[in-house]
Amino acid sequence: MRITSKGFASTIAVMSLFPSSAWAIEKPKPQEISGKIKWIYDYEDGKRISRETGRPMFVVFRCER
Amino acid sequence: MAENFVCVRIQSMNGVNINQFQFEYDLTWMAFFQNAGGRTYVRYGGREDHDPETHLSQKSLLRVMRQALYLHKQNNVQPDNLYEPVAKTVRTPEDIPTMKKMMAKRKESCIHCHDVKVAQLRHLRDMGQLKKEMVFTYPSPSHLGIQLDPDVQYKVKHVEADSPAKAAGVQEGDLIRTVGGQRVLTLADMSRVLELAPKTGTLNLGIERNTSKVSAKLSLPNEWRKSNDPSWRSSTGILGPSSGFWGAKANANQRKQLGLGDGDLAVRVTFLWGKWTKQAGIRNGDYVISIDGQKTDMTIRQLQAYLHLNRNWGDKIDLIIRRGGKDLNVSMQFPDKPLN
Repeated sequence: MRITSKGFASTIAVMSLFPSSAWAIEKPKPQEISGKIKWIYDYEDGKRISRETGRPMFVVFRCER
Repeated sequence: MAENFVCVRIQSMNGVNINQFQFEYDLTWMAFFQNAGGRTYVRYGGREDHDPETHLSQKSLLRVMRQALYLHKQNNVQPDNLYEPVAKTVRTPEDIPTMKKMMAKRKESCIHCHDVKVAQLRHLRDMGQLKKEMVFTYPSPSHLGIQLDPDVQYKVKHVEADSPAKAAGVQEGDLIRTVGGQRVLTLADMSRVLELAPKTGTLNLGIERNTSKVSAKLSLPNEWRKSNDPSWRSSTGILGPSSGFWGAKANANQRKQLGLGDGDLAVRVTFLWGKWTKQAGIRNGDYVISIDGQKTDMTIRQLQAYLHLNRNWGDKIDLIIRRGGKDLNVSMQFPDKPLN
């Protein structure tokens, strides 16, 4: 694998040539956040709701553990 | 404001398509505003070395939310697939060859954001292709002399003297509208463009100054991605050996007793795990006052990052330890290869 001059992001792109792994690790259950915001904890659900409601998505990556 | 959005909270990287969500995985918080198809309007997040929340504020977030709603009404997504990829394939963190081994050692199944970068760097290391500079991902425009207004993140708050930005004619108050042709609204947008910028060369800025549109050509000097204090990056640990001890900076009273000033290195050893550290004779309660010739004040994270970035496995370094009022000169021989 060649590392291009465009840095780490390109490295990631090159690494995407690896075949998808059959290995998967159980996804942890979401730790629901109480408050005024009703959070969706699954990205595909978020896309579906976005399509249905016409609202844009606000996608937050945040480790809670 | 949040009620105008479908708010999605992703708490682990398990199963996330990293062909689509490419960002600074060393961060602990990052956000994307997207349409239902997963196309991005704007990114929000990022930090400077000295403070994780330099560009996270309620004011700036509300501003970006309003901008995202406006762009959404126009379906004005980022057009360039280079900067905001439209992932045609799915690749998850679990597909990184080193991830399975990493996670096998964990009690919990959560793949953290920083795990993704660590696994990728570890894979490159295993293949003999890791370079220390690879840890400096998603650079801030401050590396080029541009300090952005934390609340209006496309506005230049300050231009550093003797910087590429100064040389290019960037001025305080300038509104940076595009970088490399890409629309930018936030620090995170700019860092994304900078991530894909070349190691050296130039980068065009589209600027709004008063009522005029001007352009500036930024020179990218050698090693422009490097920053002074990458100790917040968990991923530096892949680059080189660690001290094999953990510790805490001496407080004011301890420094007084040691006869050391605020600017002097004084890290009290609180935990030892390295076989090489124990072989060097270092003990809990020792004060490290010099390591590899470094005598200026550092946190334990900065001390570790210094070694990760400046030393290699198999190297031998000298330390000065203060124990019971006496200074001891010790040598530490790092293992020949990474332990994991």
